[in-house]
Amino acid sequence: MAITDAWLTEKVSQRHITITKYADYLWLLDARGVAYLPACDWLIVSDLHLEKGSYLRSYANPLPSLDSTATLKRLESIIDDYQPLRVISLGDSFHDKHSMSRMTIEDRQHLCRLVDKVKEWMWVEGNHDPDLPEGIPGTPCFEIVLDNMVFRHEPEMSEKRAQVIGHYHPKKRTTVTRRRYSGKCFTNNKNLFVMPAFGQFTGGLDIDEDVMLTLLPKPTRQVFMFCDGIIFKI
Amino acid sequence: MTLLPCAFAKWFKQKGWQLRDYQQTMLVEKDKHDCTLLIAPTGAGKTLSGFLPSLVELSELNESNASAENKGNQSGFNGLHTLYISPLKALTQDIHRNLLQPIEEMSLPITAETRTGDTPSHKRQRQRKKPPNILLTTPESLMLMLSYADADKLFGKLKRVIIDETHSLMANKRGDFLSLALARLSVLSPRCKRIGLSATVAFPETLGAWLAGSDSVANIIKVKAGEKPKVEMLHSKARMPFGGFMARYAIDDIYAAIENAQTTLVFVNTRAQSELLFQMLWEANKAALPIALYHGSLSKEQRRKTEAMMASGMLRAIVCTSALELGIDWGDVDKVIQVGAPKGVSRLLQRIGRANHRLDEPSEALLVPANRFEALECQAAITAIEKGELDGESPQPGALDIIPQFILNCLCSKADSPGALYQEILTATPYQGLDRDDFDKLWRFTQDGGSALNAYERYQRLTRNDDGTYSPANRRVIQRHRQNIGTIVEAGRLKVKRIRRGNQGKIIGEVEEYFAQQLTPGDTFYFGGEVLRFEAIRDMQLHAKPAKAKEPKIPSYAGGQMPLSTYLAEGVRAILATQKSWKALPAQVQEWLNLQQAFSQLPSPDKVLVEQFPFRQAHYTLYYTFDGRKANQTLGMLLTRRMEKMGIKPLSFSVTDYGLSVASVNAITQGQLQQLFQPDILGDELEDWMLQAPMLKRSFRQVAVVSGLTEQRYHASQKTMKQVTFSTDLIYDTLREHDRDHILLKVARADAERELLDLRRLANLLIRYVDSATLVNLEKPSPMAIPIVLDVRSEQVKGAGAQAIIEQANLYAEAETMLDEVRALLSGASVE
Repeated sequence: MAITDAWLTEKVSQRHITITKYADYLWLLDARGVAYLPACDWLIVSDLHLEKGSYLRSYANPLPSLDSTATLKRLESIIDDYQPLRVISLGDSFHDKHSMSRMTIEDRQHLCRLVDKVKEWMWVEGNHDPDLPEGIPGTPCFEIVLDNMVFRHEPEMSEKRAQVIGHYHPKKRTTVTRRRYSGKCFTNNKNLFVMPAFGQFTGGLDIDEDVMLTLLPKPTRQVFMFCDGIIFKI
Repeated sequence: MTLLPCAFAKWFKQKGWQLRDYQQTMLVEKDKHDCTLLIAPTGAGKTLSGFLPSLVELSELNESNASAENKGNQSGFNGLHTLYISPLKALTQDIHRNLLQPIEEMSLPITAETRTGDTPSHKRQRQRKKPPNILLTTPESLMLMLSYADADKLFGKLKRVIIDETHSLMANKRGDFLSLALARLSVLSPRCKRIGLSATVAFPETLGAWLAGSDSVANIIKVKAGEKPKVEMLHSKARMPFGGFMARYAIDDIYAAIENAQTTLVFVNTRAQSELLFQMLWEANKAALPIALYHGSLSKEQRRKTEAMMASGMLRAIVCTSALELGIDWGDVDKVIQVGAPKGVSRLLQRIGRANHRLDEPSEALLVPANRFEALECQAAITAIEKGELDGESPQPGALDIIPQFILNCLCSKADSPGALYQEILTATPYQGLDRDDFDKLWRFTQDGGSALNAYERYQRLTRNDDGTYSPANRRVIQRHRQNIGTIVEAGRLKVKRIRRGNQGKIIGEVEEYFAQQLTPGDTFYFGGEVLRFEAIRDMQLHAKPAKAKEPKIPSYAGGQMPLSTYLAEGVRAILATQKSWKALPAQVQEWLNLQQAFSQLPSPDKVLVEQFPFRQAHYTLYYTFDGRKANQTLGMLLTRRMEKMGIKPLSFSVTDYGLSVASVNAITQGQLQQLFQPDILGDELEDWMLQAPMLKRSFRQVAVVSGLTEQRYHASQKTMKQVTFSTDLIYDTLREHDRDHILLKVARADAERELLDLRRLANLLIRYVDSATLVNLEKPSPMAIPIVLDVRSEQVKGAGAQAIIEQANLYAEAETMLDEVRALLSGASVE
């Protein structure tokens, strides 16, 4: 743990971080798109979608392949800030099973360096990456349990415990005094917490779309949206 | 009459026409000049004059041929003799009809055909093998034909090329594009003569220079203008609105004018306005007059139908946009009504010229200002027409993004070396100052994309041959290039399908992609003269049903915004400064100006008036610049940036042609104003802003498509603008990071400065009025400010101000209370 009282007070007052409670734990929601659990010093990040750019490129879309570089760079500065005991990458960390073969050597080394920085790096498997690519340090797993809380990529409908999931890339649009704001968001109710997608080329699903509404109906949910570096509750 | 062969003389006589003086000159001197520019007002028979030398020459050639040997082949001249280029596709059809008339009536053995994007492929094939004597085409189709391997054969015997509406090709990308195509034509057929046909322009010599190319001089023939048009401004008894496009007040007057005339063209400035006005007229249409609507978003079939009805005299009026401004001859129009600001004198004259295509009678026009500012502009335009003055565009260097397209185009036809092509490009006037270094970089880009992109296979577009020349790398490169020729980057568009039942319906036109995206099912909007209800977007089509509602929920979709010409802006300033000239204005407008004088001040020519007042829970500052929308837009961006730095917390700004209004959390002082309104804003802030600006990305998108970095069309499918945007924005970022000196970045920047920012005009403004901006503090908006602050389309500013708003609305206390709990955890952890 590297964060201090002063640092956090400053961040909260600048709206770079906000705080909420879920499953009896305190959560710091960072406007850079990650969540942190101070009680156990865990950092949660979801849907990195590494090498999505090169994947699209192989289908004749003329995209530069620097998305992974950018994603890793952003992640590094966050990890440096928190220096957590454990990082949980909540699935879809790699866009497809050939991701690693397309990744540049520099990016691959960078990724390994990052994983080595923390004591424990958990790769939760997702629908895009059911098998962890070979040669990547860290521990693959299907789900992680903490007290009455389960971390997994996609929700299980029959689950009684509180779930923390990724997969949906939630996004929100809103209007405040005739001004429009839009951005990715964290959204949750009593039993479900959906993480925003972190990767560079990840689009989003509006939380007012039907799929999201059946998951988190409007009256029960709370939404923390972030744009332009600040996070706020709607 | 030895000039005209007897068949022609007879035909002229039959028609009761006489050969006009300038037509005679053109015939006599037809072989004397390499390049002729004919400048004549509309209705002078320009187009026929352009074709006359070719028709006479072709028929003479044929006669001598026929007398020598009575061949089975009818035509004496085999191959392409004359090329006619028109900026409008629709115009080629129309001219073709008009051209066939004399050919048929004199039974001349001359073949004439059109070739545009709509020409079916079997006809194109045939035209390549056996070209007609006269081919009517567009710049894009010409460029495509020049990319064929047999282009030299096709154009080898070309004698003449006629460029219609030449004035519309000055100082824009399409003109640059055509100038390159003409340079190429001159290489393929060095003896080919150029004829330009143009409406009256402010600077004929510049236009002549554009037409002739840098290695030749144009012979300019000016036809004296006919009677000056009779132009009036509407002095309505109804109350005139302060701002916006609210022509509703004048609708009865407009309707009365239509009733009194035989056939009327009603011009407006945007498509949305045409829809609105049409709707209003329809409601006022007690006598059930046949009135139609015409704009560029309507489907082709619908437009053809309207054109045909107009030509047969079935319509009493058409509400139209600039789509009807050029060329097409309607014959019997006897009145033109301009609703809304004229924006430029030349443009207004062009529109007025649509009425009464006869030289000896004056055209009649009525100007209907849609708000009080526009009344000033109308008056300025009327004064200018009385004085016979025009606003003109000054030439500018050619756009560089066309060069890669042109290089590839030439190489598709024939292998060539950079040096030779460079020399060729220099002969096109817009490119005569092209730097060799820039050219080499553009060449490199065409060849392999430049250093940041050359790892990608698809940018390997040229291969070097053993003799030092270059050719396209493979067939795919050629195919992709040919599918994407042109300079018009279309804003993403969706077809509008008018649903009757189920999924069945008719395509009735197109709307911009971004407009479609802001709709949610159930929203209603005007289109094609009725209110439609949005259903869904399916397969790149917008499905909508006719709605019962009278007033649409979503008022309009934006169309092109025409900038106020510098010349007219000066005119408006002059009117404001001389109280004597107010008498010509409608009484309501005079009253408005008097009120302004009493309440605040009038803008004067030697200083910039800045007003400040509280409004809608913010502080508004209003800058009366009169320098056009684009310059004001740029000024708004830069001012708000500096205000952000100074802690004034700007929120948003909105622009009109006349001024700029900025809303901010804090008020400004006279001292701060002096710091804000300084030329150095063009240094720091501009640089700052350009680097991260979406503006540069916006122009990079266009540049990327034109230069062939990315394509709009791939195989048969057209990409949506969203897809194009996505990929070009990413490439932009890549280049910024890895290849800062990439030539396309430079090109995008030059393009942005020219097309989007109007930096020249803004710089002039700031330098002229340095230290002479006066701040007037007011209790509430002044009479002149109302039209500007009421403009709903405001640009939002990101930054402290925007954050302030959302912070106010945001529940923050909750986080504060939990902070203590986290603190407890943190201290617990540090003890550990």
